[in-house]
Amino acid sequence: MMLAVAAVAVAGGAVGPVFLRSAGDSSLVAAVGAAPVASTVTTSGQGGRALWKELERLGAAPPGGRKGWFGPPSIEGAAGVRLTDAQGNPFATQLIARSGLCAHLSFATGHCPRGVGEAAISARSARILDVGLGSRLRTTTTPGFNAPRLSVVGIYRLPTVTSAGYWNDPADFSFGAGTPNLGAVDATMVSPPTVWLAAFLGDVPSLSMTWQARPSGLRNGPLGALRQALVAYRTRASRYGLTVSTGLFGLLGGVRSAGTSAATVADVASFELVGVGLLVLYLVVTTAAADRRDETELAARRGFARRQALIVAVGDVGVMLALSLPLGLAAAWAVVQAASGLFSNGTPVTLDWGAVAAAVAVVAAGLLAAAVATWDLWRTPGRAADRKSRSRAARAAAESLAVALAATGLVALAATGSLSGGGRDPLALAAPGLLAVGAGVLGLRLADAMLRLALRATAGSSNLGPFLAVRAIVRTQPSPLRRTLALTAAVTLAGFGVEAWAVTAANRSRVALVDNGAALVADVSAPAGSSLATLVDRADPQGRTAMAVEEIRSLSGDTLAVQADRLAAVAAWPARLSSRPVSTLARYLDPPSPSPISFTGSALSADVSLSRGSPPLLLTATVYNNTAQEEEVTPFATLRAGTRRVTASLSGFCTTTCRLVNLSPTVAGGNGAVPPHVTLALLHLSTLDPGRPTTLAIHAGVRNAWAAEPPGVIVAHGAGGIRFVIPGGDLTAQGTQLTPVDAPSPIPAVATTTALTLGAVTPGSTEFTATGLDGNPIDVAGNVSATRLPELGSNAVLVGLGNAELAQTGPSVAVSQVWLRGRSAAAVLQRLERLGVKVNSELPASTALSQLDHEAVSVVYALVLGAGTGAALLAITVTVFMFFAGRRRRRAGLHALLVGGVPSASLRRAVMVETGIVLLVALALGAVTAWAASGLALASLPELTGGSGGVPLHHHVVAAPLLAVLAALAGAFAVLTALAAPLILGRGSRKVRRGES
Amino acid sequence: MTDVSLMGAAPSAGSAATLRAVVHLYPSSDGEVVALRGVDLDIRAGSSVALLGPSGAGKSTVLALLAGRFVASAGQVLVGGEDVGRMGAARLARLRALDVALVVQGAGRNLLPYATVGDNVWFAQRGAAARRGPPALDPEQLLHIFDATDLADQVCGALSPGVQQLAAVIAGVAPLPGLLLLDEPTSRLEPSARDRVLSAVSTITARFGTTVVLVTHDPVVAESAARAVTIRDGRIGAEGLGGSEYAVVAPDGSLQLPADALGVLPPGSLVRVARCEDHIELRKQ
Repeated sequence: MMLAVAAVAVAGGAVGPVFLRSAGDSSLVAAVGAAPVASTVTTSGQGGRALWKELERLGAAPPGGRKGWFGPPSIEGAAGVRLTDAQGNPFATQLIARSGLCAHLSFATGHCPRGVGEAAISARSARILDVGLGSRLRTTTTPGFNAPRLSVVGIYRLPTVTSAGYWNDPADFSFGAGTPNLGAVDATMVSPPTVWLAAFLGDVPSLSMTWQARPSGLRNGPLGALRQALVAYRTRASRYGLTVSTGLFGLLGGVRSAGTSAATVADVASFELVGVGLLVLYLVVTTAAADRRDETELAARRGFARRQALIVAVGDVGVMLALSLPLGLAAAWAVVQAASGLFSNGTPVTLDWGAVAAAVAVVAAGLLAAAVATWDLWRTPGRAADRKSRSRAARAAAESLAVALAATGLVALAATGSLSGGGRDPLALAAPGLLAVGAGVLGLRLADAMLRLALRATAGSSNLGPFLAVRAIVRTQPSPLRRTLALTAAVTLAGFGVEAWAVTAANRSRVALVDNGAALVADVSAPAGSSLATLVDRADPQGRTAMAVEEIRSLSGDTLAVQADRLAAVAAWPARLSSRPVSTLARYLDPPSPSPISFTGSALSADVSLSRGSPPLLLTATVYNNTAQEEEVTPFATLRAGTRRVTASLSGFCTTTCRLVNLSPTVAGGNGAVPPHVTLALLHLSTLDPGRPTTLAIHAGVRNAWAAEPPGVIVAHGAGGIRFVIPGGDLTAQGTQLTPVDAPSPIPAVATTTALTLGAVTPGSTEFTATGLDGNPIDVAGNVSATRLPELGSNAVLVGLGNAELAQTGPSVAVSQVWLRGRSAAAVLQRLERLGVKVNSELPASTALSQLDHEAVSVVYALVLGAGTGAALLAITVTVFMFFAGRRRRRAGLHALLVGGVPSASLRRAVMVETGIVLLVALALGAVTAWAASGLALASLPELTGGSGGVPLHHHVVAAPLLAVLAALAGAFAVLTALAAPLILGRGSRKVRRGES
Repeated sequence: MTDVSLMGAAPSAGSAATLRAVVHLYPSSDGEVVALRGVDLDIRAGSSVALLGPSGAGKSTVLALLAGRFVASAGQVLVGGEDVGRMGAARLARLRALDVALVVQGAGRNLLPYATVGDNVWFAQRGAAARRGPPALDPEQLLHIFDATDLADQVCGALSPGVQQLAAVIAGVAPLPGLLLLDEPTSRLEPSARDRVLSAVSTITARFGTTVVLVTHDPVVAESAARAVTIRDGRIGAEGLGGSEYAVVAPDGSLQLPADALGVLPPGSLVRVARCEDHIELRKQ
């Protein structure tokens, strides 16, 4: 048992460095994999054969020598030349020679160019140049220079260009680019000597040598040494006029920076686990030594020398600790290996000297704990007198020191802001340990005092079991209550570990979801003439799974147009993201408005009344075709005073649904005498579809159904029609627009605080312009603010899709998406495809989550969880241990009571109650402390390397995981309590009982 | 029984022990309690002395002082001529390893209950062996001397109380100390077991020349010792010697009357002390 405890403590010490090493490597692997270009060292210059040879010489000795930081170098020579086809048309191409080229090209016909003047071209280049194998290509470099012809020896297939691949520059295969006068074809592959020729033809080739960093190599290299090696390499290269560039330092610096936070978190977690381990070890050693007190005292009476007494007292402890070193190291390795799924692929799990040193330190600390625990026993026996009082004083001093340390630590942490939520300090992880020690000591004293009171209360009771239990706790030296300190710390760490892991995991999930927009985001194309929103409504009539989204990204700010009534159900919208709850946003974004005046037909007919004295007016109608996404302005016949019907031809523009955007009256024929006010009434509107008139609802009598610009126009919504009193000046100067209010203006929007700040016309105003679906500005009112918007950045607005479409005056330039969530997402997407929607790509939130989960600072919370689990195991282990250790003495005492006539049932109950009290006190104290520590520290822990990007993180204590851990521990403790009596009383009690009978 | 000398083992020279005007106080919650009030006692090397007296009289305190477990509050405790009270921890350990063995009350407290008798004897010799080299008598020889070879492989915890006590005494003498202190070695034993233990004690004195001081309530046990000293109320009250019991005059001139004399002179009696030529007469007023 002691071996198990010691092994867990050693593993706790070693697991931190092992885990951290793997987490750091994982970050490095991920970073290098994600940024293959940044993780290269490129040496470049311009020249011919001589420079190529110099590069080859440089390539023989990589930066850092044989440290294995880089893979073999790749040397490339490139020269821009012109090819001419049979008709003499010029085409631009790059002559490329590169090491390993032949291994990375496949040929449709022919072979790889090896000799001078040999070339390979792509199949599509061959077609446009109208050449084949054996053809000769005429090249020129710069105008005025002619080069020898190239002989086509191979037609290659286009390779796949990927950022991490051998072919990683799309510009090499820029067929079709260029200008009308000089089109581009794909790169022409040649051998190095052919490129060198270009040096003599006016266009000096660009030569470069690229070293690709190897993640496995960089893992072994400290940043400082790498920097020195690169400086030395740069100096060497500069002698040949070569320049060296790399993004490696920035990349590694970022990884190291992220790793620093992770390291501190890991260190503190390991430290706490080791601390609990040592505390438990101390307890175990003390208990074991107390059980060996008879032997040790006997040895003292026999005059054993110090060394002999030490062996008697803690000899086996030392052996166990020594054995625990390899066991603990192996366990640490196994734990991290088991958790390797958390790391990036290819991350090794290795035991390094740091882990071994940590393990040795734990063993040494364990020996020290053993020495302290058994000091009274193994030191050369002196006088018995005064020992007890000295030991009591020492214990009181140690307890006071522990409480003082806990209080000082907490005050210090609070003072530096790490516990106030103002900072992100990994040292906040120390809070549970500090709290546990302080609370454990104080709780132990409180429990002791209460049990002393209980002793008096139970003394007169006829129920002997509880009395004996309380008496055993209060009178036994050392008191079983001492175990509560270690148990409290273990329960606290277990609870806090789970809580920290659960809260940070939930926050990462929250951020990933908001980054993505929803659980699944599909880029789609709706069939021409169809409304994506309508199709989504058909595919998901319940409105709980899918939402149509149009997205505009622009430098001035992004716009997200969504189906407002589905926003709350589908979008990732954590609490506190916006100033109003998402459940209220549908009504805000899409307030009730009169329906648009929509129609099809060949002409638009209006019954209009014009006031007397009015000059003839020219009335035009602006209509918008929803399908063609175009706007058309069509004139009616000239209006004169009186009531009359005028017609405007739509000229086939509205064979599909159109919408009336506005009516605009102006004085016909330019400037004439205009009265101060002109009254124009729209009485009736109809279309001819085709030839058959259809009356359109003009919302007469509906308040605010129409609006007018400029503001001086008075609008009266009578039952018989809409009457506009227009200032005469407005009819001649800037014109007047009479607009059916089918959409609110300005459009209600949820705006990010950045968008509000940047876009507000005046400080404090919420109205500003955003980008509409057609790329034109739209007026929005950001009366609801958000820290950020799903999927988009912090400079963005969100509007209702219907309103955004009504504001559209030209073709949409937006990206169409469908956001989905829930189990039915796949089925809805299939339904949409059946309705003709083309799904271009799908992006699940899990992709973003996976990236976040593999960050070193995220991965390390698994270690915090592991530390909590380890602590819980220690708690259970030490509880079991306490049954075994000292049971000989305990059993002897209990048997004496049995012989004295105490019923065995009372003794069993006494043992159960005694065990139960100790475990219950620890569980209750641990639960309260874990809860308090979580509430204090969680907000101060570093979580995401790049921050949350405006997504509000939640740090309140989540009851479920904490309660689950406590329930599991309570269950384990309950089982152990039930087992306590049989384990302690053993068979001996049965013997005695038989004797009684 | 085998003669020790025949086995090539030199008997240990007994150590003399002396208590001079020893006063000992125990701390208690109500102040200090006087355990010994000026005890003078000379124990010759190689002798056997039984300390008699009621519970709480101070018998065990005398043993504890001789073993160096306590330091006398006043007076001197000498073992082999050395003042035990002035010894440091290391010297005390040496004393316990080589010169003084204490067998405390309760056989179990003197034995490793899970080990055999042979192992216990071996364990008891470790302290001396570390300082003096291999013991003169190995466990087997020692058990042979006490006619207890059959116990060698028996686990102590499984033995009867009497046999356990015998094993405890054998373990006590295993390092061949100069002074063997036995606290109630025969309490709660059956007469046969008691006799076997007493026989072992006699063997120790006779064969090894070890000085033996044993504490007992049992007059029969006391009679087995060459000298019996009665301690009452922290003083030496009487001494039995050669079959006769004597009252002992304390350094301050006080004299404890034997119990039967108290019938004639009950506490509070006024007596006239008349000095005669070779004796003193006490006359009741």
